[in-house]
Amino acid sequence: MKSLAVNNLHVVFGDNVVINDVSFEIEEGDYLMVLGPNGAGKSVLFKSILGIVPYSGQLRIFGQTVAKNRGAIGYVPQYVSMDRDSPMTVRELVGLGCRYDGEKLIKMVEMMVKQVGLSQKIDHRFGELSGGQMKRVLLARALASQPKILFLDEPLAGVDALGEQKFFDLLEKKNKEEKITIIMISHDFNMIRKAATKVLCLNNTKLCFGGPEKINQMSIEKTFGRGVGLHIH
Amino acid sequence: MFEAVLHFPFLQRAIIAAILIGFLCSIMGVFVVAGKMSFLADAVAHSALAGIALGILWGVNQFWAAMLFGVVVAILTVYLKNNGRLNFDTILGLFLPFSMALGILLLGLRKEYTPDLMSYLFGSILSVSWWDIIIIMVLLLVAIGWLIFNYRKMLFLVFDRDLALASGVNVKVVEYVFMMLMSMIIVASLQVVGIVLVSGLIVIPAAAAKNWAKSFWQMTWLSGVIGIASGLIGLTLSYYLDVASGSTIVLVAVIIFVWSFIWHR
Repeated sequence: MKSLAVNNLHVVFGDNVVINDVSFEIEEGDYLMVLGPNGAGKSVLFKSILGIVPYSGQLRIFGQTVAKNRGAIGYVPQYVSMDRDSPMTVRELVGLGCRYDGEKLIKMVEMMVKQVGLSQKIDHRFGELSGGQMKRVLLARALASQPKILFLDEPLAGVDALGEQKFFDLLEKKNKEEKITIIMISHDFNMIRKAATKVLCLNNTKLCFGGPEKINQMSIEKTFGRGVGLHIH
Repeated sequence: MFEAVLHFPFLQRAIIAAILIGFLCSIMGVFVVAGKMSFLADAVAHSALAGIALGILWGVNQFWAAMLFGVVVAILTVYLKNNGRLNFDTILGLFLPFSMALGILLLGLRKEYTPDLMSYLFGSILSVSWWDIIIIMVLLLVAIGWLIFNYRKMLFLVFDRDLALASGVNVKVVEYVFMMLMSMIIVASLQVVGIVLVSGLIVIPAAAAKNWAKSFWQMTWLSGVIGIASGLIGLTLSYYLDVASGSTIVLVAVIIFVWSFIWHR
């Protein structure tokens, strides 16, 4: 079953065409990595799919409009606008993603926080965590909504190597065992080749789409321009 | 004071008003502070002056005219924020001088006697009527009902607006209703602390609670407790010192804030 179908997507801000006629489809359980240079429209692509910015074109999540299928979506943003001095705790934040109440909510929150390895921080203020820990909490919040499709906007910025590995391991487990479709914006080409089942190269328009074998020196130069000095191991 | 309270209904009403407004403003103020909208109370309170002036000029009830004007300002603020390129504080910074200028201009147009505006500027808790108390009670019930059903959505909104949108929260409805409710609360509070000081009751208890609280939920109820304490202690002190009650209530809130700040450090 198709988990996401994007057809003729256009996003325009004033006179600036941010996304120009992008179409692609992915299947349930796919692991799609989106890559492109700064300003390529990667985050805007996510925001249009999630209904945060206006767009024209057709978007379907598991065959339905996004509005009808919001419960199936999980989202880990690049940044959050919250005041870092806010006393909101990890427990409260992860609970925001959960659809349950009472005892079920408490259990779900504790389970998700444990899965991201932050049980000892559950009653700490979110704003007091490190950048990497914050990303893990945001992932726990997204997973608490039990999504069928998970959007991650550069989730590994500020995460150390060990944290990055744990993050990927958890995502891989969710993807393989629970068939959660994962769509991630990332700049780590080697990780993309290792984990992704599909790759979308974006630079305001679709430049390449397919399996991870599409990531080669040529496609990178096509997306980022020549002489960017990127090396694939 | 206890004997005086038993004998004088105006003191009974003042105590009830201090408790209700102290609680109402401070509990809603938590979302104002967390949402980085502290300027809101000032802007809406000052916009009430234009409403009051319109009420005087047209010969209609000044309270309802102020409330109507406050609600219009709230709606326009959310509309401009969502449909323009200005941030919240800039829009409020636009409405505050506009409303003040309009209010002063309209009052200047009136040739006849203009009622004393001092009670609107600095409040007059001792002249609160039972009718005022009923309005405050209704607003308190509406606010509590709103929070019971929308606490999680409000939390989402102050955490991250985009994330709330992506998670299916009807952000626009929540923003409009919250802002309209806040503007009604602010106008209803003018009788107690006045245009100049109302932001103190909204912002200071929440700011003090933020210093002490270990969670957002704790910040919410702690702010309510500080609001009630400021109201009661401030009113009692103003009775014994024979000074303005609105100012004393706000100064007590400031002392509690300083205490929380020192404790936090």
